[in-house]
Formats: sequence, C-alpha cells, structure tokens
Amino acid sequence: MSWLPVGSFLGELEIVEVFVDYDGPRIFSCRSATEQSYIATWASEGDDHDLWLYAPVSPTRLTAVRSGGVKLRDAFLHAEGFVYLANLPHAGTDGDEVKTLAKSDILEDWLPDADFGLDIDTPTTDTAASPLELERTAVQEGRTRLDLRVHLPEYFRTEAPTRRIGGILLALQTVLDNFSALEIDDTPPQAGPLPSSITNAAASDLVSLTAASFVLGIASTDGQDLFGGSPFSSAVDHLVTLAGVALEDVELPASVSKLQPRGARSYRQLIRELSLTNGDVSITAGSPNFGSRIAKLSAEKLQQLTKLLEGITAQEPVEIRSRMVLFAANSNRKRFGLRDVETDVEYQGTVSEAADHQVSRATLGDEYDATLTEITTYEGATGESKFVYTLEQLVHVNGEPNDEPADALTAWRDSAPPQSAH
Amino acid sequence: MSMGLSVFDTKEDAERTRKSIPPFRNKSIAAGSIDGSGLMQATPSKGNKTHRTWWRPENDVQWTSFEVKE
Repeated sequence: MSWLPVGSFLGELEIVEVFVDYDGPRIFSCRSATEQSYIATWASEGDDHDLWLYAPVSPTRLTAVRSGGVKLRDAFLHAEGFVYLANLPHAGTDGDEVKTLAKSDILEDWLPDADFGLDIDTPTTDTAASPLELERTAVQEGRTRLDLRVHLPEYFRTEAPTRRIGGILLALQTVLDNFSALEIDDTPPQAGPLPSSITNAAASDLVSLTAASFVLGIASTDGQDLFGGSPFSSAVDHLVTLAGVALEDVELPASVSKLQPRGARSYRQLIRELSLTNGDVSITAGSPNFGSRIAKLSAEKLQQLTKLLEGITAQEPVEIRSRMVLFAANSNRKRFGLRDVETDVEYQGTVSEAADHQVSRATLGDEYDATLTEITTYEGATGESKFVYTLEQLVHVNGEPNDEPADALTAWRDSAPPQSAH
Repeated sequence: MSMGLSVFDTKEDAERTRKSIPPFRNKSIAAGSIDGSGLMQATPSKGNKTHRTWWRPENDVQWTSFEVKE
C-alpha cells in the first residue's frame, strides 16, 4: 500500500509529519520538491485501490490545522486552492492517478467527522528564554525581568484568552505595587489608592510574548529599576520566593501575614487568577541584583494554595462613617484615636496619607465626621480575628478649619487596644 | 505468521480515531478481554496516543468473544 502518488503533476512528494498512523500514515502533511505543502487524508478503501485527498496549505493554514484551530474537514472543504483526489492502486505505482476536484465533488464519506480536530502543540512565536538567558538579558538591559509562563490546556498555539490574561496581568501589577509598597514603607496604606511614588516605582511593561505554552515577559518600566536596586526588583524577588514556598511549609501563613492585609489580598488574587487557567504555571525572574529565580506552581498546587490563602488573608475593607470625638493623635507616628459619639466605641489605628493633613490640624476633644476603613484579618493558625483601622477622612462638624499646629498634637492617651463592637 | 488487533485504552480514544479516518467512520467498536496469550505493542501516533496492537497467532479466534458496542 502507498500513500503518496508517484509521477503525478503534484510533483515528487515526501512526508513531513504523520498526525494519525493506523497501519501506516492515514493523516499527514507532505511537501513537494517545489516547497508546496499539502495536508493529506486517507479517504476511501477499495478492493484494489485506495483514494486519498490532498489539499495545498500555506504555513499559516498548516499551523491552524495542526493545532486544531481549523478542523481537518475544513482544510478540504475550505481549501486555499484546488483539492486533489489521488487514486492509488494497491499493486505498484504505475497506475497512480491524480485529478482536480471541485468542492461539490468532494463526497461526505471521504471526509473526517465534522468535529474532529488535531490537537498538537504548535508554538507560533519564539521560544521563551531559560532562567540564565533571562538573567543575562536583565543584566544587559539593566533592569529586572519576570517571565510568567502559563499552560492553557485548551490552547495548542501560542494564544490565550484576552479576558483571562488581562486578569492575570492586572493582578500581577497589583502584587508588584503592594510588594513594592512594603519595601518603601513599613506601614503602607491598607486602603484607598497607593501614592504615585509607589506605583511609579513598581510600574512594569509587557515586553514580550513567547512560546512553550504562553509566556508573558514583564520588565520594569524604563528608568524605574536602577540595575536591580529598586523596590520593583525586591518585589519580584519577594514574589518568586513566596511562590516557591511549599504548601506544607509551616512558615507559609507567617510569610503571607508579613505582606499585611493589602499585600496578602493582592497575592491571593494573583494566585486565584492563575488557578483559573487550570494549567501549570512557572514564574521565572532574572535580575542584575539577585541573579535568577524560578518557582513552579502545578495546577493542583494553585488550587490548594487558593484555598489556603482564602483562610489566612484579610477580607475586603469595610467603610465606617460616623460622628466621633478625637481623643488622641500623633502626627509623627500617624496614629489616631476616635470615639463614636453614639456608641462610645473607640477606634485606634493608622492615619492614611490622604487624612494626614487633616489630622495634623485637628483639635483634641472636638467632634468630627470621620471615615474609617476596617479590615478583618483571620488568622488561620489561631482561629482569631483581628480588626485593623485606617483613618481616611476627618472633617470638623462645624466645617471650621483645623487650626492647631501639628506639633501640638502629640498627646496620646495610654489605653488598651480598641474594643471593637464587631 | 501472526495477526494484529487494534486496541485502545479507552472507548473515547477509539471513537476519536474513528472520527479522524474517513474509511473508519462507519466501523463498529467492540469491547472484550485481552487476557491470554499474545503480545501487546504500543503503536501510538500524534493524533492516536493510546493505540496498541495486540499480536495474536494467525487464524486466532479470540476476537469472536468481543462484544460490539456501537
């Protein structure tokens, strides 16, 4: 039995790749001496001869068929050129015949099932760099690089759903923002927009898209990463190191807690987004500062990590608006103490950057319309909940400007931690 | 002399192969025991990953114990 016509006007053919083999090639690609590629399928079995369909394909169409983007049947029904029918006798090749078919002459029985598609991984971009190559690039560019490799089980070309990748990129930038904030400030704001001094330092660009699954190349925005010695570089190092911590490591909850509520939530969101791909993920970093790092997260680990993080990270912030008496303030330490006029509940916590100016000009003992955010942190290890308060806005009830100088507001009443009504 | 019988790990794999090759689209799939003598050879291809060939003696009738599923 043969599968390639000999002596026909298709020229001298040779098989390039067999897709389905069943006692010999049944579906394959082949190429003529003049570099024309064809997709071929066994179409019909006869007593003394077989029929084969040949469709010419461009490199792009071949990629689409190979990866399942174009169903095999459509490669013939919607061919880029004529479809050819090869009649190959079982005995010898003297009688090989090839004729051109009109689309209407293609019989249903000669075609694969309508929903059959090949599913062979077909990279359509350059291959991603190895960790050492990434480090070399980072040194040459003088900035930290991060490759996020996502394996999408349903995708066989170097393509990915925009919505899913968009969610991952947004979550990744948020992690970089919050991890950088921890590098810049011991007590970064836990609610509201981050200062531009932080978001500028943490800014990254999508700089490449490469193959071997789907690899997003991220780099510090030009000018922000000074040869690796920047909050961005530290944030990337922090991220890859944390992602590499084993699930069973007893230090994991403590490592997440150190991120503070906002950082922990952003990390949880990134892991959740990655988990939604249902595939394996690896994060590779290269830096002039710390060399190369890689963390591998299997689909199973991502799912387990998502559940674990749900248990140890903080919930979304709750806004509290009420009339309160300012009983303590410390401009230098950015701390406040407020008592609710109606409930007598006391709140103590951190002053946000937005409210810093208002607090510095406030008067102790006066009433204010205060806006706080409350974050509940659930400690998985102890089962206890903690409440963290941030003062976001402080407006005097009379609308009068606060006229006390900042230095005067250093009185701080010694008191027990706030007893929340929650 | 010997003869080979195509077997697959799962019915889904057999159905996928049947869909892919036009002359097989009207063929039936049968299930049966592969206990007993014979040699199993892995004969996969890119689009047919669990295909195996069960080599049996010529004129073997073990296949008659298989039951056609569809």
